[in-house]
Amino acid sequence: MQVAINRTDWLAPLSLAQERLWLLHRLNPTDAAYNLTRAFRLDGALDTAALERALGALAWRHAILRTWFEERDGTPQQVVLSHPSLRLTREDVQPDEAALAARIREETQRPFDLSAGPPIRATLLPLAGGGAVLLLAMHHILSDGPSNPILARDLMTAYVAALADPGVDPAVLLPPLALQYADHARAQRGQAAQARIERAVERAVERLGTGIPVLELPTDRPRPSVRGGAGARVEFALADETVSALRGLARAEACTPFIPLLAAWQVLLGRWSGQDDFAVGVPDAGRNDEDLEPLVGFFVETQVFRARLTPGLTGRALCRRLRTEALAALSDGAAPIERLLERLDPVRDGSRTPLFQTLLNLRMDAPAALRLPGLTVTALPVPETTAKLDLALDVAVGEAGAVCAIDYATDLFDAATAARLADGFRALLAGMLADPEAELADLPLMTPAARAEELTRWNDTALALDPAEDLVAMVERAAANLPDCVALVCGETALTYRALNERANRLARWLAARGVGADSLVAVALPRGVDLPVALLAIQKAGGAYLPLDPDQPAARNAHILAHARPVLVIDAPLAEFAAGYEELADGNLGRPVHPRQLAYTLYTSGSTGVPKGVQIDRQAFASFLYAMQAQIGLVADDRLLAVTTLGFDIAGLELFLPLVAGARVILATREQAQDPQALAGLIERQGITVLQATPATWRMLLDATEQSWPGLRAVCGGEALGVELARRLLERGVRLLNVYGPTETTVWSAAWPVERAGDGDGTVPIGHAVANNRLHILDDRLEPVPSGVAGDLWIGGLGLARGYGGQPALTAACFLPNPFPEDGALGAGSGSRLYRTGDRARRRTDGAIEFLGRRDHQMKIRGFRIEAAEVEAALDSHPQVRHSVVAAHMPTAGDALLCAYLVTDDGTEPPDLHAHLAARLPAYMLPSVRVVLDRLPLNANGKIDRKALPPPDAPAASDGFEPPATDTEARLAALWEEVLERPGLGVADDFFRLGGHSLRLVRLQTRIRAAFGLDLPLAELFRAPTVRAMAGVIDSRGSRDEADDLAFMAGLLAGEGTAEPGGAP
Amino acid sequence: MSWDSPDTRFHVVVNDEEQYSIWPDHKPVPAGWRTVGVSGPKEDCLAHIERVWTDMRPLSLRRALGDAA
Repeated sequence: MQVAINRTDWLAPLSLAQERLWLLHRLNPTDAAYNLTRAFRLDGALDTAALERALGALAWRHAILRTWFEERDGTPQQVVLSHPSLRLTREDVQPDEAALAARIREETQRPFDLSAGPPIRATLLPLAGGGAVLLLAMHHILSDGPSNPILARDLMTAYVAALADPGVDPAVLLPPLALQYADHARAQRGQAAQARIERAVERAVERLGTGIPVLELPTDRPRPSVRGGAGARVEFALADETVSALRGLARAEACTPFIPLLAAWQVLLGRWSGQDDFAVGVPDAGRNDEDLEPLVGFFVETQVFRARLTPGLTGRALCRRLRTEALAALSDGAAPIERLLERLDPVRDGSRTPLFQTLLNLRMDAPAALRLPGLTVTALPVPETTAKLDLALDVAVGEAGAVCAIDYATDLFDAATAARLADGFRALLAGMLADPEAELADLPLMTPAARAEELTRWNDTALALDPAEDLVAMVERAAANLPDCVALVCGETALTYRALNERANRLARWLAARGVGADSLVAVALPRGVDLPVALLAIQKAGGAYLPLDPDQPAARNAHILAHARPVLVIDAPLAEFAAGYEELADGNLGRPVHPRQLAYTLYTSGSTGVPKGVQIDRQAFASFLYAMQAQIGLVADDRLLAVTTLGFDIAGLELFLPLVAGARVILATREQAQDPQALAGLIERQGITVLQATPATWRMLLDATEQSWPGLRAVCGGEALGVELARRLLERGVRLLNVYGPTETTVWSAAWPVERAGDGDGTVPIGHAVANNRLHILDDRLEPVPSGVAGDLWIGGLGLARGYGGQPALTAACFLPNPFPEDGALGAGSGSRLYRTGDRARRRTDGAIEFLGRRDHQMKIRGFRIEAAEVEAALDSHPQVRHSVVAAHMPTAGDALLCAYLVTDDGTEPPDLHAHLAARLPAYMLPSVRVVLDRLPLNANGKIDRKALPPPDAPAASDGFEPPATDTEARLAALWEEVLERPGLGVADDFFRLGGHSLRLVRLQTRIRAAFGLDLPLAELFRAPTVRAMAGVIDSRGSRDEADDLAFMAGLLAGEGTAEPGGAP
Repeated sequence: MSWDSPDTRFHVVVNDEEQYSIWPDHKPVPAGWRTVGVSGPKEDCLAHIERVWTDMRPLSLRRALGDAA
């Protein structure tokens, strides 16, 4: 028999799949993400010469194994050598176990140069204890998963033949192939194939539809604006019952096990992300021609399945839908991803892969083992150190059961999160198989053990509270212990504990004589002065509850509150005047009994309907809160707290009463002082303030206006989300920072987080853990707990819960719901306790700390993307010239929302590099389209940003009309675009990718720009400037970006276009 | 069935403190709560509560103050 292929080297085009990998390689030649590496331990009598000849025979039979790649005018070609060059490299290191593992890892990370020769390496390592290890590494451009059994089989055949006849030429050890991979690649470029591909693409586009949203899985770390390739793997098995149920459902529905697996994967991703629409990639062997079956080569195609998780859908219905889709995809033929990208027009965003961000890979066969005569061959584990996508699930269903692996991007996910996803997949699949008629949203997202842990692990907050312990008793105890210590300072006036207590006792007797008793309400409309705390304490001592009325609020609002709350009295004049003669009454403690459920105060907050609602807080809730915060802040008698918050905001309760129950000192800032940062800074200095609580807006005002450091000051920050940037600035001033969170309905603060360091990225600081005697639960809309990491609604239980909204039973019943979790134990009245629905979105990190994600109603949707205002605001705030920002969505026309940023900057103008600053931190869809610079952001009386008072922005200039080139560069560049895109009449604002541009066309454009302008611009820079105008700007100003960064950016963009297929061991 | 779905039907429930709330009729009623025989769409249940929950003080407090109904 003659050697089959003995022509001189020949050239062929690349297949479409190869072209994508070539492009990725060209972008980042040192990236080893597409290495396919196998390691085999060989024990026994190894004939090394026969092995080397057998490897040579592989490359004779499979021409792809002697192929390398070169570029001509922006177009890659494969060059098939007429003679193989595959050699077996012997290393004499004789590694031990650890050195061997390191050597295998190194092999996976050693890049190939596609243009330096065939990208394949075979290495033999003799082992110290006998035996040897064969390392076989190649670039994915030569091979794929289904090629593995072919390689194993052919290597075995060749080795047997080489052993049998040591003299024979390796070229004839294996029979030749009728067809080579290059033939396939060439055929793919032929007219018939092109037409077939066109049809397949047409049908795929029809099937999938456009505007597929990206899958936004909750991540453990902020998503880098340029995706990295580092990855890891978590392995798990499916229970035997699950595997047999899987087979059972597949039989019943006349489908393969792939369908229920894909259904469960889609539901898991949908439930984790809160999305019902996204795409999943599914690798398919892609060898739809019998002649291709014996070939080694990169044939795998990725099919795209769009998840459409319609509400109310059952598992069975989803399986049926997927089965229909899979059959349609099969009959339509393979549609190359690159072509789909052009047609489906996904938003290009360097932070994630386009079109789909996760993969499901199913292998039905047991991995083909390598067998060599006279040898025991063991496949050695090869570490997974790269991730081509956010997540990839690999399921191998065999006779023995099902083994699964999740490959995850380590830039985004912790191992614990990947393990939770695995737990969720197991629970969800088992649940769906057990009850195919259950609605998808009712399927369990956790195993029972994980659910129980989620409910209890971070909620063990019980702090024993004496039922008799009450605010009044606590203050009276402090007064008895420290009668001559100063309790209260306001302006030039100071009161000792004895004076405060006696004055309050006298007033309490005056109030009691006028009918104030248990649960009765007394309105307080006093200016910030010594009278204010005296009055509040006296009301408590008489048994009553106070109702703050802010004299600065509109009279109509106060009138409404008074009419609704109907207090027994309204204290609206100085005490000496209002309660004339009270100072003559007895000054001893009244000793009135207190029931834990009687009211401490009622506080009116703005309701969503615009009508204020009165939140009723009972004595036990307030006492428990003070008790908890005293422990949390570590407040002692030596402390001095500066009270700055208006009484109309419930957090003032902490500022006035926490020092008094601890025997510490309250320095009450006057109204004028509280609004003047210099005055506040002066008070901190002069009064030796050790604790200050304020909203982020007030802290920012203080930081902006002063330079002082406050070492050791305990800074309590709450009322709004605390951004990382503000936290950093506060920590720089030396404070000990406590971030606190809580709605009025659960007594001031329900969660607290000591901020040790501001943290990385641009996000917000966590709100931390439940404070004592509170329970925090993050639930889905079925009131089921969600796994850590997943966003849900924050619900609060425990002693802090309000009685309700005064005089509004229906509203109370709608917001305070039965607590369905017996895990919460006796807290909050045990069985029969309630949960308050905060309306805030939150999620728990792996370490248990809760992150606040914003109000349910601040979540914006822009062009289908869910956007949290807080995330964009944090990126804005991280610019050195931006002091403060708010982001809101505006709807100038129905359905066409604009993301609008409102800024306060150092010099009152927009920083010229702001857009670049944001573009480096945020995905394109999160960039505000309108930016408005304001002198100051509107605040409401409580020091929170008043979003309703933001001015509507001017509409941006329309960008969809034709704009002709205006400069010489634009005109020359537009001509190049027209060549590359093969269409005339382009406007300078038109988007390259919307005009049919794709990555390879961009490479061509790059080549032409190099020729025409003499500039070698990095591809990523072109990618980021997808209009003629922007690109001309790049050419004219030739930026100086870090090229490595650009490569990573581009690689991220393209990775999803590559057929990311987990390489299973042969 | 989602809590906020317009199709979800609720029970009016009450606890030992005679505090009222609502609960989806397809989920088991949490411990310490009992139905009062009224169920239907959320609005109807809330309207019922608006009518009958006239004294919102917890029962234990009303008793302690000696004016329990």
